[in-house]
Amino acid sequence: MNLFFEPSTRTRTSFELAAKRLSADVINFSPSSSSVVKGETLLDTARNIEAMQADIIVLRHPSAGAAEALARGVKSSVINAGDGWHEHPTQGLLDLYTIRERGLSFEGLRVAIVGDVAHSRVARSNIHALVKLGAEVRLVGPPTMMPYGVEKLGARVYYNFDEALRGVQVIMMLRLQLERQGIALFPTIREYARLYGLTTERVESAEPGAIVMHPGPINRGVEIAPEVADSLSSVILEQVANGVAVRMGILYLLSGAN
Amino acid sequence: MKPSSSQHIFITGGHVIDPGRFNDVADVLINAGRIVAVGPHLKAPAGATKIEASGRLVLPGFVDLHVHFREPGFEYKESIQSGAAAAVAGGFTSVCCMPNTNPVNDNQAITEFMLDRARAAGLANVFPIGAITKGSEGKELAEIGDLRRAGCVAISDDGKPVMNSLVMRRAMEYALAFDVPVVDHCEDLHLAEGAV
Repeated sequence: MNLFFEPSTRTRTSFELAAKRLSADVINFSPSSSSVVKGETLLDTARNIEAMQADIIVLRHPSAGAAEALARGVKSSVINAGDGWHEHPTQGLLDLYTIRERGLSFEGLRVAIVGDVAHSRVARSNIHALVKLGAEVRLVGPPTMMPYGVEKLGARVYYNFDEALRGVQVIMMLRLQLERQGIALFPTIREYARLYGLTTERVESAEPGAIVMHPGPINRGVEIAPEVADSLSSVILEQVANGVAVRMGILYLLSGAN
Repeated sequence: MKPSSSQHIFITGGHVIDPGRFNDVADVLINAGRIVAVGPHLKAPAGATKIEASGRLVLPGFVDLHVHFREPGFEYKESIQSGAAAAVAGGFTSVCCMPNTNPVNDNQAITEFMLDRARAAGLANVFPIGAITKGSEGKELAEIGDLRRAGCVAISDDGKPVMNSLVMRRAMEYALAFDVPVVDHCEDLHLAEGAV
């Protein structure tokens, strides 16, 4: 059961394909065409779905902690497909898989995560996983995009992209989430692109052979230059391909298989 | 006036004030544009240009952190040339120019123009201060990174307080990345409304 309370193409399609390849029956549920618009709570919606014998609920929700709360309230397995600015664990796992597939080991691996860390669930899931596996995580962006106390997660903050890139083996770009802006966190897209956009020159200033990642959807010419997105260093589409495989693995394990 | 490398200037008999370090009648010896000695009864090297300063004060160049050279836009009030001339006449060798020009100094083109004019004047050191917000309207951040790169030494909306506290917070956070001071006009216009 795909339960998506936020627009998503990549993650929803990825989960759906993963489930179908495992021969599961998949129902996509979106709040606009359901009883949610009639005022039903998340938990009541989920209990109704559960009563129809759904084994696994995949939840994308704008509130941090939604998946955790739901998991306490239902017997079905709940997979967090993104909760607010909090976590996006399956994205983190597929990113790790992609790094390892490229032959890199995590111990001492230097990774730069670049962009709006404060509003990125992808960043938080990757920080947790990479730090746990012994990587050196550098967070790069303007101070307006750095959450307070983020160093406590074991990462180091850089405001200067060029300084942060020295010796980096993995450059993980985050999407500039223009739709999340209230009072802008940066003056202009022009200045953001100059300070924190990934260009060919910047890729070349990192460790030779460094790989470029992006959870998508990309803003070409803003956080990533088109020629970088399409270059041999880019593993962006491999991330998407691996996403299906990793989600198949998660669904398989949760379905009770050994 | 830049002395050649061999040129000595000897300022003699003045009351030298170097705040926190020196405050007495003394001589000052300058070699190649640098002060090499300060003290009573120094010997002037042969060929030194001697300046008699008895009964006068000898002071370091002053710095004014807040001047209004109204160029571009209000040259009929003050230009960079006239402002810099007034500055050095009063002993101020460095000045920081507020951005209340027209257009407001909220982008690198204005900053570069001001520095160009200052070079042409060739008098005081002119350090532009860029705007915190576009047009100093207190709504959207100016391109602070660009302003800093172009040569701004601080950011300020001059006499206009940034009334939106979230904008001010973002400005101060954003400025951290460029190590640039934020100069604020601390006034709440709602509280001050109607006041003298």
